[in-house]
Amino acid sequence: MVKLLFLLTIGISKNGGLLNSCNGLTTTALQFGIPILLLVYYAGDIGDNAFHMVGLVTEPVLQGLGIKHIVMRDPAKVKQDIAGAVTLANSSKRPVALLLTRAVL
Amino acid sequence: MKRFECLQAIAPLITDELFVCTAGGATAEWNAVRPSDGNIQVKTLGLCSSIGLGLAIALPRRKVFVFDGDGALWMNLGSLATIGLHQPKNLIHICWDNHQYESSGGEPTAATADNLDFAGVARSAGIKSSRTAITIEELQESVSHALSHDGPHFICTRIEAGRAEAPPLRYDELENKYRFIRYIEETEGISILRIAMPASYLLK
Repeated sequence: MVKLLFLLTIGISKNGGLLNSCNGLTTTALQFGIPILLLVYYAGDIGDNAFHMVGLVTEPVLQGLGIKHIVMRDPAKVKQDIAGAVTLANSSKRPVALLLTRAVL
Repeated sequence: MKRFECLQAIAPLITDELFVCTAGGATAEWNAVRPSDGNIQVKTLGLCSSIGLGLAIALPRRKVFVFDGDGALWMNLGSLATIGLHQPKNLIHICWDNHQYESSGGEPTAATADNLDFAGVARSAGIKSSRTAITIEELQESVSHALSHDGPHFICTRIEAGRAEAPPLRYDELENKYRFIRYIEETEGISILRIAMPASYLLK
């Protein structure tokens, strides 16, 4: 049994909120090295009929920020994805994003 | 009144409180007046009140000061509503209002119109102990009151524009972070930073 959480901030938003928070993520979370688990609803994902522009830029923006992410599409892998993201956030002292699609909600 | 004079005037009232300092001139000046590992710098304009709120919630028995600027507060005015929602008794939020974005060249903020009553906004957001200080004596009395009464407290302090000659910060943000965390660990008797064992070391 691996201990998952010792100290971690969790941020919850839709991807529109993620885009709004880019400055804070850059100049606080990344610049100070703060581990944060970002739980982000992936609006505009394939199959979603709204917010397609937000969906289009979400992953490139995360990549540009240097924030690793997992797109969660398989309900059977939810625990594994969360555990992996928490471990990476803590060890790297950086934010890690989980993009939550409708399939896992 | 000048910000540096204000900082010097309130420093004797301070003991072991934590300070979250805005991305502005107040940070270097406060570190010159009261150097301490209990001071943390903020690099995101506007976020010091949110970070201070989180700290106050996490350490409810510790007084937490936020040194904000009017330009920074404009960028995150919603934090007043969040502070009003959570009602942290130990949070003392001071806004140094010089009517300008001093760090980036002195461009005027919306407060220049003089129609904005930050303390009124804070009060309307649920921060009942909200005041405006325009003299050193009012500021000292407001800080003394905040230190001896449950908060949250908000003090808008009207100051002249201009920075005092203060040395640059001794530590960059990473060293500041670690020293700040270690200071909290030592003074609170808690453990925050822990290093996990590499996965390859774990017993199967």
